[in-house]
Amino acid sequence: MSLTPPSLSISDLTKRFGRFVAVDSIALELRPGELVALLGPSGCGKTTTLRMVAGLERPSAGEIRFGDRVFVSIPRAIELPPEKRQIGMVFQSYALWPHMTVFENVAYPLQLRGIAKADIRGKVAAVLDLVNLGGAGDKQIPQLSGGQQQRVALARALVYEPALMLFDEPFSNLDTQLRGQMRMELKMLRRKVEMTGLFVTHDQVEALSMADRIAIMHAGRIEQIGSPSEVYRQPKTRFVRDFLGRVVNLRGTADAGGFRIAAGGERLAVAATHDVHPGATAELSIRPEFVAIVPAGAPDRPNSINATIEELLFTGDRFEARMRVGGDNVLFDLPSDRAWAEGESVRLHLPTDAVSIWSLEPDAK
Amino acid sequence: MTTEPLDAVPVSAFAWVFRRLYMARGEIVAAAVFAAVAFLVLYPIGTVVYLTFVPNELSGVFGTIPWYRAFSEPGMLQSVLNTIYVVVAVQVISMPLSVGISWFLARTDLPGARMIEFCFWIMFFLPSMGVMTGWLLLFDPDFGLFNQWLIDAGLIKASIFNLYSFWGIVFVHLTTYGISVKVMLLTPAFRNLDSSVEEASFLCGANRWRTLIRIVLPLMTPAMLVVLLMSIIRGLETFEIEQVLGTPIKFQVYSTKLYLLMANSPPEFRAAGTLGTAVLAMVLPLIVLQRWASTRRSFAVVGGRGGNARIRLGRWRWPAFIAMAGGVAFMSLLPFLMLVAGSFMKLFGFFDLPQVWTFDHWATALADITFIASLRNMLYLGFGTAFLAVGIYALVAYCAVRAKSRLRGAIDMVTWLPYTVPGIVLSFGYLNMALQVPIFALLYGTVGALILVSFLASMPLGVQVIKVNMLQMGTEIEEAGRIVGGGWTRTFRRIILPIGSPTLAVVGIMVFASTIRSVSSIMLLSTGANRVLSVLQLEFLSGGSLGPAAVVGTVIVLISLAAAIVVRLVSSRFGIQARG
Repeated sequence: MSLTPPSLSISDLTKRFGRFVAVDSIALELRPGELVALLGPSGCGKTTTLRMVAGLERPSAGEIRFGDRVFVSIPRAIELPPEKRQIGMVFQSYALWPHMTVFENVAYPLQLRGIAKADIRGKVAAVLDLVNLGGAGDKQIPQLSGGQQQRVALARALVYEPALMLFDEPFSNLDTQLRGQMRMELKMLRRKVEMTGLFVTHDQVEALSMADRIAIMHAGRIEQIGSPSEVYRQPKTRFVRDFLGRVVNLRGTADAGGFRIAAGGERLAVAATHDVHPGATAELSIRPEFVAIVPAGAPDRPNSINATIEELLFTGDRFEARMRVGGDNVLFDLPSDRAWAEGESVRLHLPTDAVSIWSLEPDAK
Repeated sequence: MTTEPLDAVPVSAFAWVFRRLYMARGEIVAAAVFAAVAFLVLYPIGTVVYLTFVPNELSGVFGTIPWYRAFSEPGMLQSVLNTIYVVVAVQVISMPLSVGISWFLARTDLPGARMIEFCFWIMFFLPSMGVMTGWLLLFDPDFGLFNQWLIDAGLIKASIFNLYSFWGIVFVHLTTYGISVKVMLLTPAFRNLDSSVEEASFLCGANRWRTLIRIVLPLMTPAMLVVLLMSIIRGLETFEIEQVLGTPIKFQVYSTKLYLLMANSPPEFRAAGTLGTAVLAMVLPLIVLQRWASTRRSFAVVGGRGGNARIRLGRWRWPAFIAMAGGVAFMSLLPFLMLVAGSFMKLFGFFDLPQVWTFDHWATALADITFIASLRNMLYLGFGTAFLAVGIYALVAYCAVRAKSRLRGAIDMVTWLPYTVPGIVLSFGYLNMALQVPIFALLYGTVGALILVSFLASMPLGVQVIKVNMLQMGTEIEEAGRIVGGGWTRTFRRIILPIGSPTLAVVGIMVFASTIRSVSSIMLLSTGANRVLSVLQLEFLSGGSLGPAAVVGTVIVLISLAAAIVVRLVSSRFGIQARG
């Protein structure tokens, strides 16, 4: 393998559409060989950011550099057109060319680079093998299934060995099962092909399972960047907390190193607090899967509180339960290996390091 | 590979300006396209309107006086009123008929509905002068077959239907585009209606009639309004029908009046300008209304998915088929056969001569230098316009869809403008332009002038069809071409053009077909040197030479039919919506 590939560096990047600010002076660095996901709800600016990296959209301000090359710099009036950036991109719609066969689609980028015919044939065959499409070169695009089209799009982007790969919601057009399979394949592919990549998704499972780091975007800004487990377990903002996975919130009052539930007054010890001073109204947050639920009367653990099952829905592999905790109604999953009953009292164990406290004071973020 | 050093030394002012210009190249191209189209469309219209403000040489009065004087001239006001009469009569008859026909074709189990729909489509392609010539053989007051038969049969004493009359004009309008274009547009709209809305009404206890009146028609109102306004605007285009059938009975509409004013010597520019401006002012509220109606959220478009169950006609199935198929045959096949027959008759319309049939007209025509020259000019005009149109419409449509420029909407708007200007007013504008701008003076009298006007006349529809196709194609197809390393021109050539080529072919042929049969938009720019077949046919018809007119008409009709069939084949093969 050659030297480490250069890395992507985005600084002060802004995009305005009229008066609407789609991307609001963001900064982001990609280390060589790293795959970073831009995750956020629709309209958060993630796709616009990706398109600016690709050269399909011109920033209103800021700079994008890749290694020692400037992709675009608004202050310096430099803009490299997309075809000169040497990047690969997998589009949401795949954007395969319907008038060309699979082979022709994948060979086109090589033709543009003036590569000899014989070499093209070899390279295309190799990359089609890589994406498990060996022998499908003569097929017409409309003959292919969604998953196969996805693979052709990937092959077309990989064939010229771009230094940077971009993925725009690459799996959003596939059904759930196929999506899981493609995720796995792409993960395996990264072992064979060294790539630095940026991908856009609104699917948190996709981001959590594929990316080395996740940048969570909201209203044109990056709210938090970190490894999947970091952003999942230690959300820095309320938005990140609520956007990733499920969360259970209980209202109450903060005190030094602890939290008192609003109704009932039980006290819990906590580790992390966000901008909370003792005595402030606050909410306690925890991912439901970290909560251990046992029937009342079972041997008790510290940091446990009382709850009552109000309603039960049997869904086959589990129960969905609506529970009353103090003055709050919250939803939990219960294992289906035991018969639970509506009206039953249970104990919830909340591990200290899994809970966080967020201020509910009016001036809180 | 252009590599930009990271910490570049400050660049020179010249290089900086150059970089800025380079970054703005998209904007510059869009501005150039906008300026060119705007000039070609707005300048001629401007010259027409300007004429109404030219102060009178005698009094030097500026303002309303030219209007007053122009409209106190004999026949001016009457011509505008006559235009309105014709439009109203045609729409009042054709609208309910078309709605009924479309409903039968789209929502019932009428046999052969697709075939009948296709016939209406063919009818739309038939040139109106050819159809009119065919009708003359039947409904001429002196020798018309239909009148003759009834007189011979002793049913009537004198001819009862004379094509040279107000109702004759209305009749020809109805049988050319009056009904066909509405059926073409309304049938798909009816078809897209989800049949579950009808079924829900049946389940509530309503019968078919009540369902049609209370549910289906109200749902279709927006679509019907758009179609109605569109055909009124198109109806104002006509010239040749009134020119042939109205002139002998001194029935003038605004277009024939405008032509007459310009045929005077010296030509009455100011009066013609006033008339043209008055018509533009009449069209304006219709345009505003149509834009409003078509951009409003229309409930009829909800469909496409959902059920498409047809209403069973039961024992009315075959009677309905016979009525429908008979009507279509009467409106399209009959005049076509008459036209062809007329071209082989010794004396047009006289079936009782010792020798009825002859090849003389064809032989004379094919040997005639005027005919040959007109045919040649027509082919130059048709192919010239088609090629110019395909190339430039594609570029303009691309700019209107893709340009990353604030001018994108403005380009879209300006390409659509010629739609609002009747052909004869547009060519009047170009006549004025030829007198003012030297380049256009050079074009005057050449086929080039006709190509330019025809190019503009077809622009709204042509650009629209290409735009729809480009929107369907999506941006990512093109962006992928850039990302993998192709420049814009290479991507346009290797990806956009090949994918769009069936649509471009369809647009080219449609432009060809509508150009070679059109008269109104080129009549005022026509001279002996650039005369085309359609103009020659009009001259024959006006001069009463019906035999030669039938020959020329047959040639144009056959070429139009061939074009129609090619369009149909190409678009059904590639699934193109070749409708505006």
